[in-house]
Amino acid sequence: MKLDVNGQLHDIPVEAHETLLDVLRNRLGLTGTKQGCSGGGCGACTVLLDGRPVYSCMVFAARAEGMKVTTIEGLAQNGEIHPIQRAFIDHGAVQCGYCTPGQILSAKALLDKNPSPSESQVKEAIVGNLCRCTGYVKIVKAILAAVRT
Amino acid sequence: MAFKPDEYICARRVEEVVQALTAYKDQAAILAGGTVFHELVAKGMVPQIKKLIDISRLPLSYISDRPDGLRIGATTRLAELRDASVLKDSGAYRAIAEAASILPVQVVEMGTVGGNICAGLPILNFPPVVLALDFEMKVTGPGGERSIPGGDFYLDYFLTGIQPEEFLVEVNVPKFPERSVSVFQAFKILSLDYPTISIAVRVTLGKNDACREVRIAFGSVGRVPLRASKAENRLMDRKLDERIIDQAIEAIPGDINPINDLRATAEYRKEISKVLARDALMKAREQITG
Repeated sequence: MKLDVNGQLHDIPVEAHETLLDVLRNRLGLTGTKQGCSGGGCGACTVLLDGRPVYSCMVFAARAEGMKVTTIEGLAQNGEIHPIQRAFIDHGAVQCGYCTPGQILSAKALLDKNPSPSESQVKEAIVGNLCRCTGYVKIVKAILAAVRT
Repeated sequence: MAFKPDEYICARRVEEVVQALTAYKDQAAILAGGTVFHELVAKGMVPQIKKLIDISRLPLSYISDRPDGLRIGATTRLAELRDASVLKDSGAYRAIAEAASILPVQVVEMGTVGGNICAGLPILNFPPVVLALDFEMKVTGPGGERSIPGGDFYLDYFLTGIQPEEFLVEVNVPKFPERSVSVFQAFKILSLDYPTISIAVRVTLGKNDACREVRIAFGSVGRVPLRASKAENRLMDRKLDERIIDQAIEAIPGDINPINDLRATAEYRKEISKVLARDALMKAREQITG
């Protein structure tokens, strides 16, 4: 199948049972997308599909044909990390880092749709992303700071 | 036996789906958004599935508001229901938009109304809405199309009135009279989790703000979504005020059959069902009377 990931078209063999998460990590080596619960309970595997946040463990790879997949590796432009990534670093919103790619992609989907969200809209946008270290306060602050950059 | 399907069928026509279901029977699974199905895969509950039938590219994604009611295509994503002004700005259909939004965004973006209804799980958001808003499920199969009323739809865990060779194509919701509103609420301990208990109510007020019609339906209180019929009867033809509501909700625990699980005890669910019903009915009253 042909899979468009971060603007690059890949022609890869895919089996019926493989999820988008399997293909990103195991066939394309894009390990920035994390595997957590594999059942839609943690959000570590969040990627964007045609700009919408989805759990990549809950999408068969075959489903993504003809759609644009964006992973954490696709956010940097011309060697510069994305303003949301910068804000996460500046606000100490990363501890173990496992949930971070998913949090950042959920935030990106929100900001692309709503460039000036309220704090409650930010919280709503990351409901599907579990963090077991930072306790969300710094994550929310970082996303709100990215709004201002 | 591990889950290892040998074919992913990306259906382009309704007939193709019926043919595949007829040929492969219980080895086939319909995928719309896939969010429930993947959870079953993760739990090892669908090892027998060999054929995945993706119906997301069929022309079944639409919301059509007609004089006789609402028609919603089976693969309409929850995000589209959440954002549809015909639902969120209406009184009678608002519960549909609410049920489509009280979920993680990732599920709202992929999940579909058809999947949420057909999974046959009383912990999902739509089953109580199906009962409260008198949904009719239009299914198609080798014998053609037929409709299943909401009250006959849920039979047991994972079991609905849809036959193995049929699948859902459309949901029909009746037109309700003026001064009708609906409300959906979910009580959750963790926002990412399924509801500990959920409720959908629909109320039509008539003369002197008396209840002309009332539906109270719960999710997560039994093997199927359940209506609180005794409480509904206590409200009929009565003015929807706090005193009447407080009397009516006392009948709810007798109509539901919750279990103890990791989210709550049965006893707790019986107690919270009354609180949730009170809130939802008060909210409904406020929306009608302002």
